[in-house]
Amino acid sequence: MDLGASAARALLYVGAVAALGRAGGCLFAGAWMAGTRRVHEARGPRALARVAALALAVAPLLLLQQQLAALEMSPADVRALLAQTTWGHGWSVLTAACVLTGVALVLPLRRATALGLLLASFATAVAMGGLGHAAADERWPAGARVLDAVHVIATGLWIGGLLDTLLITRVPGFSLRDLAWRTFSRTATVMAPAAVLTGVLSGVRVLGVMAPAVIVASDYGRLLALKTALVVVVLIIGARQRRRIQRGEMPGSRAVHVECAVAAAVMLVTAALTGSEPPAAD
Amino acid sequence: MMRPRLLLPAIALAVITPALLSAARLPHLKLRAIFPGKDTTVTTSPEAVKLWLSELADLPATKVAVTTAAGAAVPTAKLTRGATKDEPVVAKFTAPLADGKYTITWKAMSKDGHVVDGVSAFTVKLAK
Repeated sequence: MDLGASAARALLYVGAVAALGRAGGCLFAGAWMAGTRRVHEARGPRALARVAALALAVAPLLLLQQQLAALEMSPADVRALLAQTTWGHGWSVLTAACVLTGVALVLPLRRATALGLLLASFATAVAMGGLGHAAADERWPAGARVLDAVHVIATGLWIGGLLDTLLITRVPGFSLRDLAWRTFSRTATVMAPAAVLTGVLSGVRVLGVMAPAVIVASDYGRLLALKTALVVVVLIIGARQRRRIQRGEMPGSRAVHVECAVAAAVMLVTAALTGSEPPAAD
Repeated sequence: MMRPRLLLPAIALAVITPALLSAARLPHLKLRAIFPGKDTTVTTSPEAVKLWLSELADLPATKVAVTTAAGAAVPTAKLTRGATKDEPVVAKFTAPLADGKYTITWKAMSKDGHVVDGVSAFTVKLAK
């Protein structure tokens, strides 16, 4: 397993998820947020946006550097790598999307820039499929890319939305905390199942039908099992918090922090998973 | 945060779907064949090393190197390949090979960026 490439992908996921969460938090809460969008400019949410923009600026460069190292290429070979390979084309598109998303993240948040951020982060989600396992799928090239993009978008609006809501509800003087959590809860009710469904279908696409013993005998299979277990933990915590919100209570602060920490672990495992070779059937 | 009644179907889906669907697994770049074959002995000097890969390899990201038993690099021309994945990547030798053991090291990149590599050896024992 290549730790450098995994770290680069983890940065990419963190940046994309945070961007999607911030965009979704502003746009999907439009009705009640119209007069209070300024809460997203408070210290906590703003700091997260800057960290996400930095992650999106650094991740493509790290990915390129790791790819050059893996191929034993020198910086002089960059042009040929980018212009004449499928991976290079995917990297160029991803980098353009990351730059646009990064710029939209640091711009003052208005309705137009929030929409721009959402579109740019959607583009980043689509472009991420160009460097993942979907890029090697010759049977369902478009289907695989769509599946990966929907998975990233759903995860971003769910987990990124959780992080965004956590930060804005901690802004001093913000009076619409219960409304913010209810809005997030409605979004997560759609996005969490969408993320799980697309994740399962991607797993099936990569592995096909294979004996569980064969799957878990590989690094890929063990990482996939770990990711599944962690996702189940996030779902269980989320379901409990949702019940609290439905009863008119605020979600437990400690539980939400644990949910965010486990979700971060899921992203780290996914970063390693994407760089692993799926097991062979024979 | 997820509606509890959706949790069970989601978990069930995660467990059952792989068993129900008969989708073929995602193919990854693999070496299908190599010439000269691994651990074979040839009695004439081969004109080239040929790699048959499971994907149409991008040549800028493909490397083939041949070394003698002493570790010296054997010169080869620029890599070429056909238009389909059924045609090999070819590294032509610029001069005939002498008797001896040779090692081929190769590296290629899958479309998703995975770098796959391998080592293969062959022996040249020219017929007298």
